[in-house]
Amino acid sequence: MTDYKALEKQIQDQARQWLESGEVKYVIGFEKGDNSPVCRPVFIYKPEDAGKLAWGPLCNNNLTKYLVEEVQIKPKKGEEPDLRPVGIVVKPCDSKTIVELMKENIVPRERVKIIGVISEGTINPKALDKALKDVPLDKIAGIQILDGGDNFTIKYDGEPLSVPKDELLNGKCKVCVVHNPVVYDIFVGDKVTQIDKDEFEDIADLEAMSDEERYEYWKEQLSKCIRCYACRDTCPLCYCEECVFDRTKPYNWNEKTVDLPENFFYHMVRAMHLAGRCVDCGGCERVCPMDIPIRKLNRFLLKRAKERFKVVPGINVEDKAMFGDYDIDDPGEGIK
Amino acid sequence: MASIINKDKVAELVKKVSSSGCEVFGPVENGGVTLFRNLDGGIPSDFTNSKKPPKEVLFPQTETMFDFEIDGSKITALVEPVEAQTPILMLGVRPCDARAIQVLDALFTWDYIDPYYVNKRDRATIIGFSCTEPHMPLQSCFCTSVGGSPSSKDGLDMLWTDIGDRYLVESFTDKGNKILETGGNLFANAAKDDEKKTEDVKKLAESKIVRKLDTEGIEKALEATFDHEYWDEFARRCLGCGECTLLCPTCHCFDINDVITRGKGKRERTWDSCQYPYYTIHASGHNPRPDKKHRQRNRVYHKFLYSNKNLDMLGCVGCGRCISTCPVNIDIIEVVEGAKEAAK
Repeated sequence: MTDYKALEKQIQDQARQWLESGEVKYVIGFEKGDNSPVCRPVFIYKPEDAGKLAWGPLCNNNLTKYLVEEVQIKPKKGEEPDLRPVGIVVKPCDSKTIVELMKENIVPRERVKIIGVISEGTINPKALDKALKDVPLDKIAGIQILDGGDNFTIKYDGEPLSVPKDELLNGKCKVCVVHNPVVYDIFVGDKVTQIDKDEFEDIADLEAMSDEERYEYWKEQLSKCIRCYACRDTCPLCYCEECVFDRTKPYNWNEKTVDLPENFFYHMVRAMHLAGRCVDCGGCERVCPMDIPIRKLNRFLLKRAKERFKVVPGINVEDKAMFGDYDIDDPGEGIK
Repeated sequence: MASIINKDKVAELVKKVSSSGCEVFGPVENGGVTLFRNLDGGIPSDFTNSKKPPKEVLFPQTETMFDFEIDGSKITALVEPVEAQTPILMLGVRPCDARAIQVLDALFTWDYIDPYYVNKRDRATIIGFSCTEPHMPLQSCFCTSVGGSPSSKDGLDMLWTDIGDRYLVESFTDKGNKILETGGNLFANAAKDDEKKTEDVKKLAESKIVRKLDTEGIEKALEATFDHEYWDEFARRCLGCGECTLLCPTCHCFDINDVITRGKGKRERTWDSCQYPYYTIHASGHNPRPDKKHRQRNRVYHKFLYSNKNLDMLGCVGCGRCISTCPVNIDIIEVVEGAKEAAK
């Protein structure tokens, strides 16, 4: 069971210390807004603001997206760039992203100071909304969530609710096998015992389908896509300075038309670009306004990367990138 | 004189209206989300408001404007006049979204009559459903602060209110009366008790809207804060995904593209968003809104300042979609209140 308040205090103290000593430019963390129970990204520049930093199961965002923004900023002409590291609060899945970003030479290790926090799962806001249906509307923003073992206890000034974790957790958390940050400067929380076993049970139903059935499944899902590209915009590993889907010169690769063929093209291309890289932080699926199960595509590729190339992204900086490495024993059934 | 229709008769009404040659749209559950799609039966009265606003019936996300043929260097446009076709019925539009259609009406007939929109709009009859509860997740509705209400009749031909096993039906226009006529004996006269119940339902629903925005002094505050550092602060966390605009019932920007295949092509328009860097980029490469702060600021200014100036109405109807959808909890009420604070 996680004591969120105790972790929150450790995060605040560490951030304050770094800001006071000037070791970091600023700290990227989470804060609790006044009008929503969900935590949101915040940037803390002054030690006296460190108390704003919040921690809890509703800290969903993968903040490393902002880290990528930070290292991609080009200094203005004649200006000396401030290359001090930025502090960042990460969950284990987000820390895996940093490993990938270091592997791909996007974020140098010395540009970041990491507060790595253990996590036994975060709550999906849409699932939370369902669970709160009997809570008076003006109390929703002020709820408090405690870890009760197999349940989450939701407190407000009424009879507390006890909701099974299975009903609230994000899909990615239900299959996650990494509960401790893999890269960090400060480790926050008590190390969680991990069962290192991902059997990809969540995509078994999809894999059991015939090609036609699977096509029908994705047809229904992808026809909903509104091509807001939120899945790309929230993904820290989608860091291209000009995305192929925004590019219009010399010609469009992907028409702006929102219809099934173009939607398919977009999602397939994005999935392939993440093969062997995606760490399954689940951001894409969580931000999708149309509830498209985007993670299923990524999980499909994760499974194949693991089975065929023994690649598990986000674990070790020394590992070679899947597409950046060739081994004579690599399976070659695609080449005949 | 109000009428009533029993809930179990709605499917029959839809059938009757469809068989008279009318295309009927309503909220349909589609792969887990509610969208306005073709209806072939009744609809639940307590549906969550559609993810994409019903504006897509009148202003589809992608719409072909005309086709053209290419023969060597000769291009021939095959422009067909936009002519009235079958009537359209939109059933189950929430009052906020109907008020948003009024904004679109004003916009698409403002400095130029947009034939694609106007043609569909003229054919459309809009039946609203009063909200009995706020319909956006995590209490983000705020229609009562921006001139609306859960039972507003603005922009509607009819308003139906759920009073248990039946709807109380109010008709405000000829188009609404036409539906009463087509329905015939599916409708009955409302009893005094039904009308009393309706009033109670409407009042209760209004009391359930907890989010409030004080619109007093917004325009002045925005005019005074254009270059304020406030916009840096809050837009820092924006991801630039544009969900707030694509799902907004009053947003109306589109981009025009030619889709060319061998020997022929079509000119299409597709929803665009001011949250994307490519929205404003000039041919020279210069971008007048280079950062997320400029783009978020534009969204707020458009809704709460430019719309007032150009169309004489607020560009926000308080549906709450942008608030409940934003992945990083950018809350337009907080943003506007913050701008007012910054102007002090």
